[in-house]
Amino acid sequence: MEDFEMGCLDTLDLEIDGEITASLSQASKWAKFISILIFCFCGLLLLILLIGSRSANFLNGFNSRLQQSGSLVKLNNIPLFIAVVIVAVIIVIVVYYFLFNFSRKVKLAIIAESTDQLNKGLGALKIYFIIYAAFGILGIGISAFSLFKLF
Amino acid sequence: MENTGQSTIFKFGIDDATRQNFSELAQWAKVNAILAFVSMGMSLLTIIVASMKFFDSLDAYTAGTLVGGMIGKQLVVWIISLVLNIILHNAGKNIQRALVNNDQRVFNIGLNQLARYFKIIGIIFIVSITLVLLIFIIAVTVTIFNG
Repeated sequence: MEDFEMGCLDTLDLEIDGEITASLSQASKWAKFISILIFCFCGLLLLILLIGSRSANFLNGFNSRLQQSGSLVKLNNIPLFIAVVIVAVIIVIVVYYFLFNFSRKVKLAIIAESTDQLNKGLGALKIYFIIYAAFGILGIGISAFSLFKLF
Repeated sequence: MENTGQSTIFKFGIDDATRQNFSELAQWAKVNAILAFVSMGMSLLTIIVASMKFFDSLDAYTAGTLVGGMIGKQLVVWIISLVLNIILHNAGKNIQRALVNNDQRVFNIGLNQLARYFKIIGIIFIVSITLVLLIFIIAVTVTIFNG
């Protein structure tokens, strides 16, 4: 047993020590807080949208706000608008589900002292960063296109 | 002691799978931070170009005031984003460096920075919600008192 442990430490010097456990625990706590807040916000948005879309004044009110803000876009199709918002909300929920999963798995890893759960948690955070990067590239592309159109 | 999937993380060094996960995580954290820096640069450039394009007809003072106003509004967002992404970039850099050099101290610093990154986002969320609630309460109060 000692040989195995020494072998591990000889080749791979890094350890999950108390300080790292504290950092992971803190990251997990805040990640859970952020993801739950985002889920609540998405739920609230859907609720407002569904209640608002039943009101006759919803479209007129929304259009007048768009015109006040100087927008040339006019909203004519409520179902399409609701569908777009629902798709956006689903995407956000999926992205933050990975952050929530990171939090859950890392917390489990700390409690159960399991490297298996730690790996799953780190994998979830990696996917969260990958999806975020994909949207970042998309955003930069759209910005570059608008900038190009300005010239 | 048998080496099962439930090996204790306090007694063993980081295994290959965990090392790989940390390495990839650090890499993507750095990519995210760099993309955020590029995005900030693009939005600054867009504001400057749009200002030059649309405010040709205005005098220098008015154009300067409008551009200054637009940049001023964005400044708070840029500063917060800059601080956050510098922390994220440093976290990724330190974790990667620690994995290459097997440096426990740098590894601790890197993970501490990653935790701080999430903590700052959480605090920004709390401040934003508080501000929104405050504005909502003030708006309701003003509406009630104005009849």
